[in-house]
Amino acid sequence: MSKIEFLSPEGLRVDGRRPAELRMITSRLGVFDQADGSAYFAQGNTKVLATVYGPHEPSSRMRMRHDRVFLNCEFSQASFASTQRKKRSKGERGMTELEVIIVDTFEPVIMGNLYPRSQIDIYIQVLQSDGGDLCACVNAATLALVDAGVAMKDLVCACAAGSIDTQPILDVNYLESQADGPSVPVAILPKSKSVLMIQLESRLHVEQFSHVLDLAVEGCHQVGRLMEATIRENVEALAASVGAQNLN
Amino acid sequence: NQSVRPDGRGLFKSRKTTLSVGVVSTADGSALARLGDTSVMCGVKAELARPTLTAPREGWLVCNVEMPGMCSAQFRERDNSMRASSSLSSQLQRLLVGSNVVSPAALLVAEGKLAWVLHVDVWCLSYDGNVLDAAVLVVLAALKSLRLRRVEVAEDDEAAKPQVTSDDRVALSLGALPIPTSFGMVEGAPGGVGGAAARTVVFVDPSSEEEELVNANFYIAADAEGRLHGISKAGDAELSKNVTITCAEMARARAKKRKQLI
Repeated sequence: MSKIEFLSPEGLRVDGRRPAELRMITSRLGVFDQADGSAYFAQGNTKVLATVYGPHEPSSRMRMRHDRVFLNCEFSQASFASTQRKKRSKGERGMTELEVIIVDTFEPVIMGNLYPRSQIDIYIQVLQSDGGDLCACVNAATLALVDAGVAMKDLVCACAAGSIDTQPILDVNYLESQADGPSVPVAILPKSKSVLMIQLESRLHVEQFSHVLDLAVEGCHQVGRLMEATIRENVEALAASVGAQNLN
Repeated sequence: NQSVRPDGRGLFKSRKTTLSVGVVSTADGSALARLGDTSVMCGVKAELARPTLTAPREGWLVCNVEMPGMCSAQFRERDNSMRASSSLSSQLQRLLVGSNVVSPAALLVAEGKLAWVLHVDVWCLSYDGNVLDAAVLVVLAALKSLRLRRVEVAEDDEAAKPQVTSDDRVALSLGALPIPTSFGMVEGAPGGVGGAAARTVVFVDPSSEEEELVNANFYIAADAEGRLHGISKAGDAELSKNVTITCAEMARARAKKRKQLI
């Protein structure tokens, strides 16, 4: 029985990456005109779409808050998104938990006091899942919120790190996450360098934890720089199209 | 009056259609279609199952269309979303099964023991009217790109364990492609300045803005050879025979053009 070598003697991982290397990231803002804001975020083979509707009137009176916005998140994953066909229906616990994590992550970052008595919906759709899903969802949501023009204190950048034996690795893919090692998704606010969200579900020795966390935070900063570059490109394109109209 | 629609199109002009194939590598076949601002994605996953007792020599298709809240503000309400999803799912299933585009016998692996089941999942990512046309396009493209593993079952194997016989994969051979063209109908639009009699206006590829205004809509599914595969009309505008025949001809011409896209 062959065992997959997660870390080769040369120090390469199953997909040929070095331990501290991120997967290739592509992102685009404004992919749909129907939504107020939309974004596509792909980290390696994990592809996520996020759309934002709002601020708009709350869908029920119970959701109306007199001083702050009500944040709502709905998560869905296509059954063809994972290698084994998995039908994830609404209300499934794992999905609801993810929705709660997203709302809790963005609640302090969105300047909610600017949108009292309103609701903002964040819809997240996982098109293809290959590890690092939660982080890709957070990143996609950030870009979609920026595209929608929702006021935020900072960009929320997320990246996951884990370890194989005692070697910390960055941006864990699905195969590596199945290897019984820990996976720690982390989200930060790059400007204030504060950690906004962190999850751990498997065992990790306390001594290794600070190394893994440091690596994850470094990964988040890298992701943040890439996201910022995408946003700048998008705004420059918009400015150019408006500027061109002014000349006419 | 000049037969120009709100987005500047003529009555019989479709929106720009683009189709990309192989967008999701975890699916066995996948495609993404954009019809104007309506974006629809399809993933097909092939699984093995025991054929039913009533049809021991056939596999089958399971179609599902999802209209999630993200595609449009009107589907935020769970009821609306489920209603639209259910009705589109059953329309799609009927159209695909009825046209025999994938022959159930071609999905057989071993009689009575093992057959392929194709799970066709369609997700509407952005809704601006006319999901049906986009959905069928994307399903046909995904089915065309589908590659099945070569699988066999040993003759004497009662437990029907599938054995992969070789590494290469086989494409499905598809029958005639049933391509729908959706029309909207608005009644009582005045014909001219001099108070001419009210007439019914028929147009192709309604956007979501237009869908809200129509009295009725219908689709005609035809293939490039001119065979009709499905017609469905609901709503209260009257559809005269002449209009139906003209639209059927239009559907056939469109089917020819769209087939090249796929």
